[in-house]
Amino acid sequence: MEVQKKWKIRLWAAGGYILLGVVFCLVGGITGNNTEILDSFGSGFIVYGVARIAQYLRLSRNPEQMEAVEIAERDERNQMLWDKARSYAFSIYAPATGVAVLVLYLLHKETAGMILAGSLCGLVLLYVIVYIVLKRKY
Amino acid sequence: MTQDELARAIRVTRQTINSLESGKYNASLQLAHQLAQYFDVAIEELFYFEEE
Repeated sequence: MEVQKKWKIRLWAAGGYILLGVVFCLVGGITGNNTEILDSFGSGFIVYGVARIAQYLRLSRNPEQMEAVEIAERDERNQMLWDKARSYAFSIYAPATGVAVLVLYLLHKETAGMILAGSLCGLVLLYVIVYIVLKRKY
Repeated sequence: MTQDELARAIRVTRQTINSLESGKYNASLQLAHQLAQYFDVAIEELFYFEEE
């Protein structure tokens, strides 16, 4: 993918994250429920979006650095490391979440346990779907 | 030639060249081919297959 096209998509995504962050903060402010959680998520999304835009502005003024970043992103060892990190994170997250669900049920926090178990089921389901799609592709 | 110069020439990071040299990372067929082309040698002259 062309560098400019890739950055265009990233900038749109950054705008989307900022918008999502604002929505989170607004919902927290309007409803007044779980404000801390919603504000934390919202601020996280906004900071990520702003950081992406700032990164683009910084790199667009320095073509040499932009090229270095481009090389690092295309580098096959880096891509292997990112894939491995994601794979390990998933492998660790699944059993850790299982234990956490058990602990939450023992502590009679069924709702939190159910949400956590649901998130794990969703992740596993997503994995299966992506696997099937990739299997057809390759 | 430095690792940095080679990395710039074939558009990978210096760390990748370092990992290849130290045997921590195995190059893909594409990268092996690029390196062989750059040095104008056969792939077998640059890399050897070691059964695990």
